[in-house]
Amino acid sequence: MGIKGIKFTNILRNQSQLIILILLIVMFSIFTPSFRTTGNFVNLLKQITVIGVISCGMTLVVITGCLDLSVGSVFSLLNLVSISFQQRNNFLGIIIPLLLAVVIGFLNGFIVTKFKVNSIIVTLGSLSLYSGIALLYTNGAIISGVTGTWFGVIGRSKLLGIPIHVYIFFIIAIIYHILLSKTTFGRQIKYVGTNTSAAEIAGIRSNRVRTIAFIISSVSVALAVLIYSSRMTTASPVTGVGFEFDAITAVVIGGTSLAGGKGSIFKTIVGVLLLAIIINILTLYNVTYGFQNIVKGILIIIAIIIDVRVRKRIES
Amino acid sequence: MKAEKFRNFLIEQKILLVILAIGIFLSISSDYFLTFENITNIFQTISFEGMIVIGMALLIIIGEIDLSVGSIMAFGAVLSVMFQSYGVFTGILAGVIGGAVIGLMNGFITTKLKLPSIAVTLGTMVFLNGVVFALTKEHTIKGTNENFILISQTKLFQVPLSVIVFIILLIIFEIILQKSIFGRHVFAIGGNATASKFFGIKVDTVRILCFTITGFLAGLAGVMLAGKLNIASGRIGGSTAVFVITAVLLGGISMEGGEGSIFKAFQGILLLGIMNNAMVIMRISTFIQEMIRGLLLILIVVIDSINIQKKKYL
Repeated sequence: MGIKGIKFTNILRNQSQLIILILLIVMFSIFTPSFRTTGNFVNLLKQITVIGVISCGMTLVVITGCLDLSVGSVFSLLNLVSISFQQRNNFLGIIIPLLLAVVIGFLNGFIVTKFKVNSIIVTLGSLSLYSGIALLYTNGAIISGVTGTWFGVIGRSKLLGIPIHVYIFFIIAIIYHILLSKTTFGRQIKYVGTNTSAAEIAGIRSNRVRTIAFIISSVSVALAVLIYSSRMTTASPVTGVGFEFDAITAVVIGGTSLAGGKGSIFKTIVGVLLLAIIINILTLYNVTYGFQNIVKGILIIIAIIIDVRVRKRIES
Repeated sequence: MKAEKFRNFLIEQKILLVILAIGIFLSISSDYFLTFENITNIFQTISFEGMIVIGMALLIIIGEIDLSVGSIMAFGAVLSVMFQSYGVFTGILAGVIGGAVIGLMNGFITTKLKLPSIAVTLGTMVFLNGVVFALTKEHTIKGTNENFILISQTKLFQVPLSVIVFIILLIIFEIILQKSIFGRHVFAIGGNATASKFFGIKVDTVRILCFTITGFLAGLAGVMLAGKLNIASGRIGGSTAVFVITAVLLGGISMEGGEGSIFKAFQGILLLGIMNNAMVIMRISTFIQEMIRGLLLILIVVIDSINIQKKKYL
C-alpha cells in the first residue's frame, strides 16, 4: 500500500462529494426555478448555521472514533438555559450555556474514556438524561426571552444581504479547520482515532484528547444554541430533538469515516450543504417530513457502506 | 465452603434480591402495590418492551446490538392498524412479518457488508422512523376493525393476553438458548466469532437469525401495543432502545458477549418495570422518570465495563 495511492484515493473521495454537491446545485438550478432564486440560497445558508456548527464539533468526536448522540437534547437544555438567563442579563445568557457545555462535554468524555465504555451507549443515556432535565427545567413549557436588546440583534441583522450568523458559522468553521489541520491537537485527534494504542505508545494521552473532543462537541452545541437563541429569542424543551441524526448524517455523508482517524471540517461543510440542499429540494417539492427522514436514513446507510468499501480498497 | 457458596449465590442473583427488597419496601409503604391489579399492571406494562428484550438479549450475547427496535415497534404497530381492514389476523401478520423483514435487513446489511451493527441500526432507526411518519402522514391513525381491540381485552384467568404471550416467549426462547444447537452457536459466536468460524459454525446465518428474531419480536410488540387502543403513530418507540438495552444490561448480561440468559434479561426488565411502577405510585413526573432512565443506562454500562476490565486483568 503506497502513500501516494492513499493520497490519490483521498483526493478522489474528497472530490466525489464535492462533485455531487456541485452537480446537484447545477441540476436543480436548471430544472427548478424556485431553487435558483437568491432568496432560496440565502435561506439555505440560514438553515445550515445551527446544524453546521454542531456538525463541526461532532466531526472532531467522530475522528477520535466516538459518537456523540447527546447533542440534540443538550441543545434543547442549553437553549432553555440561555433564554432563561437572558431574561435577566444578556451576558449571563451567553456565558452560562458555554460553561454548562464544558461540564456536559467533560462528563460525556470522562465516562467514555475513564471506563472504556461504548460512546454510543453512554451518550444514548445522556440523551435521555438531558432531555429529561430540559423538560423538567420549564415543566415542558416554551419560554421567551427579552426582545429588543443587543442579544437579538446579532441573530437578526444582515451584512450585504446575508444574515450575520452565516458569517459567524463560516468563521467558526475556519477556526475548527485550523484547529484540526494545523495544530498538534488536531494531529493527536487523528492519531488517537487511527490507532489508540499506537498513539499512547507515542506519548499521546488518548483519554485527554478524546475528552477534549467531547468538550469541543458540547461547546459547539452551545455556540449553535447562541445563534439559535439570538435569532428566535424563544426556547422549548424539544427544539433539539433529532439534531444528533442530522449532525451525524452530515458528517458521514461528507465522507468522515465512522471508524475514526480520517475526516476534515471541509468534508463536513460539504456534507452539511449536501444534506441541506437535498432537504431544501424535498421541501420545495412539498415532500413531507416523513419522507425526509427516509432519505436521511438511506443516506446514512449508503455513506457507511461507501466508507467501508473505500477503506477495504485502501487496505488491500 | 458453604458460606462462599451462599455469597456466590448472592452475587449471582443480586438483581433478584434488589427486586425483592424494592418489592418488600413498596408493599409496606403502599397498600396498592401488592394488589393483583397492580402486579398484572406491572407485567402488562413490561410485556411489550419485554418481548423486545428477549431479542436484544440474544443480540448482545452474540456481540451485536439493535438500536432500531423502537422504530420497528412503531412500524409493526402502524402496519397492523393499516392491514386490519382485511381481518384481525392479517393485521397481526402484517405487523409481525414487517418487523421480521426489517430485522432480516439489519442482519443482512451488518453481516454481508461487514458493517458495525450499531451504525447500521442507527441508520435503520432514522429510515424506518421516516417510513412510519410517511405511512401515517404524521398523524395518529385509528384502526377500522373493531375486533382488533380483542388483542388487549382477551384475558385468561384475568391475565391479559400480552402478558401470557410474553411469558410463553420467555420460556420458549430460554429453552432455545440453553438447550438447542442454535443457542450453543449463539454463545460460541459471542465468545469468539473467529474460532466459531473455524469450528464450522455458520456465523453469518446465526447472526442474521438473531436480528430477524429481534425484528419479529419488536413487530409483535408493536402489534400488541397497537391492540391496546387500536391506534398507532410515529411517536411510538422513541425511548424503547434505551429502555430495552438498559434492561438487558441491568439483568447482568455483559456487552462483552458470550454470556447470559433470557431469565437474566427478564430480571432486568422486571426491575425496570417495578421501578417505573414505584415512580408512578409516588407520583414522580415523567420528566424525572426519563432522566432516571438515562442515568441508569450510563451507570449500568459503567459498572459492566468495570467488571469486564477486572476480568481481563485477573
